[in-house]
Amino acid sequence: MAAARRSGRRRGAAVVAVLAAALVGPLLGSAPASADTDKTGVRPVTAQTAPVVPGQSAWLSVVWTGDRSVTEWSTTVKAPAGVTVSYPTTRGGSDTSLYGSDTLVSGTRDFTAFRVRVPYTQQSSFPVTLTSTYVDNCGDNGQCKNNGGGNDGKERRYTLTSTVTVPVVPATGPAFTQDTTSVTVKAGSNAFAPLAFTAGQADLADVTVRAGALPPGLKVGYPGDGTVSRPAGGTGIIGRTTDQVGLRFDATALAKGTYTVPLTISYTAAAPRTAPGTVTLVVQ
Amino acid sequence: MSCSDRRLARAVVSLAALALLGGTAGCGSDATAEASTAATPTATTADATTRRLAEVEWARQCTVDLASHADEQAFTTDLDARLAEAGFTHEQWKKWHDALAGSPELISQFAEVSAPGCPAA
Repeated sequence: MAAARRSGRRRGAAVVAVLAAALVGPLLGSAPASADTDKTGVRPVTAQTAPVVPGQSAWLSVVWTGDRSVTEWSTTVKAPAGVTVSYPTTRGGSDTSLYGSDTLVSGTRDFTAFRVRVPYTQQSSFPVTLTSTYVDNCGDNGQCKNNGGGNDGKERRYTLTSTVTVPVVPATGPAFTQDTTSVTVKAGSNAFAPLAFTAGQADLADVTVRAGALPPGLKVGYPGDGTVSRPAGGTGIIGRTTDQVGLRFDATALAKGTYTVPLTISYTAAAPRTAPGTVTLVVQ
Repeated sequence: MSCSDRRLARAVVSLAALALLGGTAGCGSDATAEASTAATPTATTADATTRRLAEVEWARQCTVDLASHADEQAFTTDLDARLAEAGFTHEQWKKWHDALAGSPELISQFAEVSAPGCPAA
């Protein structure tokens, strides 16, 4: 009797074990995707980005392709010490995705964009490591949600690490150009006039402009009653962008005519520098 | 039925109920997949217009990583210039791009357009 009871308990335990396996089995089947092999064929097309120069801030792009459509794309970029990486603000600034959407469609291409700020001390090419995560919506049978075949409902999230070279080349051209070379004011006026400057390939920091020895009767003022004028957008000018400084030309004691106003333009590139300039003042 | 038998029966019933719920959840997943599948018949069809958009996009993807920009917006400026040259707006491109993932026809058409590869720089 006791043996029969034990036997009955064993049968009961076996039934429970079978049912438990039936219940737990499917759950185990939904194990994290990391256990699966990435069959998406996702890969970078770009081996090296566009070149940059020392001291430059630039938006770069890396093109991707894949054999299967993947969704929820996210990429983060790691660069060597001293090189600063930033991302589009549209995603909160902590990662980048693809241009068109966060889906890379099979057989097509799309790119991720990110910004690097290269210090002047970075004179040679450097690698950046891109860590991309995405979701494969295809099942083990190769049938995918978007292709109409259905799938096994199992999410497969993968991580791909890729290394791309950022070439660094010497800068060419001037550190900046002065876009505004002539200002016209009315006789007797006393008002600010903008002077535009465009940085060369590299960023300029601590940009200031001040007038030199003035023609008799002319006075020049600066914003905030300061001694220099700075760019409207900040203290520096990003490479290949234009900004302007404001100078107040007090022509109340100046006769009509054309005058040359000397300028001193100071900025920091690899080191602090000063350059001369002039602006022609036309008093009408 | 003994007390242990009753416990066994309760366990069997509970596990069966859980297994049933699990199955129902699985059906929910399948229903999602079917919903996506159901969208396929309405997928955008390929035509001459979508081909020209694919050509613009392919040409852009062939050169986008060759240039750097001071401003992030320059990527869109470049695309819009290419689109305008081909007689399209950004909205038309966006609609085409959004339709790409759900349209095997558009994907095939893009594959045809890109088959020759990028032109030599």
